[in-house]
Amino acid sequence: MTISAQSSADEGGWPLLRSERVWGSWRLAIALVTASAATWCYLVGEVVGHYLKFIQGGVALTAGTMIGMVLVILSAGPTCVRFGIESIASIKPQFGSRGWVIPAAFQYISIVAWNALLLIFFAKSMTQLLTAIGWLPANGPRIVPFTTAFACAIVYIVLLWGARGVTRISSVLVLHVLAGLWMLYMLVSRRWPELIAAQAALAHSDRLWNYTTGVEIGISACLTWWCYMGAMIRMAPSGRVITMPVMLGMSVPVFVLSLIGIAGVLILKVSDPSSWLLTVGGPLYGVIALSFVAAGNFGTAMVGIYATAAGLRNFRGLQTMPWSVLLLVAIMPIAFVGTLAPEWVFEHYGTLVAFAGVGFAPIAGIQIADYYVLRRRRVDIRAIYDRRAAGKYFYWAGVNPAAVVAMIAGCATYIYLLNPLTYESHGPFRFLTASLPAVVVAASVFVALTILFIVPAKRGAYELGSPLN
Amino acid sequence: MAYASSLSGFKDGSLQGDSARLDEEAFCFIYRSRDNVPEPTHRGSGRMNDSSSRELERRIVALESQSETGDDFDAVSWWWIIGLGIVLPLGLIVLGWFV
Repeated sequence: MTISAQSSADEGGWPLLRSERVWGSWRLAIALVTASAATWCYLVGEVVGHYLKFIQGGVALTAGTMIGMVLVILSAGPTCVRFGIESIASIKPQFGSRGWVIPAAFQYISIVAWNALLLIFFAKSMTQLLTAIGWLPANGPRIVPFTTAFACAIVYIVLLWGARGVTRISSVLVLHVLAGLWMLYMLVSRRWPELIAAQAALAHSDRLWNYTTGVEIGISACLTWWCYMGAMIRMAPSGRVITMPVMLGMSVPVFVLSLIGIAGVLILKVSDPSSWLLTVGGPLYGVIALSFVAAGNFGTAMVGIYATAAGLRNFRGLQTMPWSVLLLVAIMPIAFVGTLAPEWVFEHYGTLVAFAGVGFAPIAGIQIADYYVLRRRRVDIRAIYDRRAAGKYFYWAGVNPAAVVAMIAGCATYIYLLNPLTYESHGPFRFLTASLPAVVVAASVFVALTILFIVPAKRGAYELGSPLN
Repeated sequence: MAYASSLSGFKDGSLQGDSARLDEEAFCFIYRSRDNVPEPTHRGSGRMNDSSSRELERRIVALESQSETGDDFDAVSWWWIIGLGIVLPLGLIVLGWFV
């Protein structure tokens, strides 16, 4: 396989052949760690730190992230790694040859919003850094919009290399995780008594509710990785190669860096290290750490924009668009939001965390139930790329109504159990979380509707792998 | 079948650069039937579409033959998935409650 053909497949959204998938476990782990370790971890930690003390918050968050990752790897993992496709292509057997736009919309909105946020964080860190080294006056001009635009330009240039760009840059940026560990050590070693004694500011009177909320936040945060999963693991050749990197590479950085956020909000009342690094660490360490914090956000945003561009290839009108133009389509909304409304985005990040759980928990449930229960692992790669009305995954008008209804049922379950904006809960949330019931309800509704309506109507090619036959 | 004969050509490269007949066959065997060949989506870039379709088809055929398909999770993978994704979190949840 020539490099140009592989590059075209990478940028063209085609399935990658096994011979082209050259990432081993370490290569994949480095890319995933680079993708997952960023300022959003501090924000996740901040939310948990509002309800739980340091140790219990860390344990709850760790458990939640591991549960979230198992849902992600079981949903998008098998189809993506077998056929070398990204997450959106892998959802077509369930949602249909046109219905995939529903999860694609979730993916696009989620990635655009998160990455706009990350690039704004990058810009803020850069501003702090320039101020710390004296290149910018303390009360100087607001340069965040300009720094955000600059970051978008750098990401664009790097991603012109496609996945090779991700490979090259992640080899360097992964080092910022070490800076995160150092920040955690600094906070824990210098403020341990204060940290242990600190009380969560918004803790509920119900201890179980606080604890379950910590687990739920971990699950929701990691469900976001569904968007990124396929674009990364399709570069690896087998399930065995991806398992450890995905389970550890995308969850360990989240909960380790989230501990910094928990510690920050408990004792300093602010989770973003760029706000307290100079105070706690002093000028020298502060400048070094700020550099790594900025770099971490840059790496994550880069992987996110790459995943967005790869996913956009599924739109018919964008299939033949040059990679350079497609990247612009992916990056322009991020640049637009990041430069024109940075403060508004910054103030509404909590909504983004909530959005992830509501949207991706039902998607995970539907995909897992379809792959393991209904299709018994049989997926037709040709049908994934077949848009004709006679195609196996065309269903009705290209949409599988069972998936749509199951998605609605899963979202409704989540919102009923935990209002993602106010964190007001109902029913069995304190025992079950909101994401897990949403997964189970969406999966159950999907299986029931498929058995009752889709299989008898001979849609979706279930007769090939259905346990009913 | 048309797509079967074309496949050997694509594999050994002998059909590269052939004419409209090739393009038509390549396009046909994506859709399995000449009766259902759709109109090109982008009329202004038909050459690019045909080229893309041929490459996509080559990949699909290779994946269908299982020769270029990645492996699903094996027993070792499942061991780690269950251990790290179910057993460990359950243990942590119980442990964390008593902290």
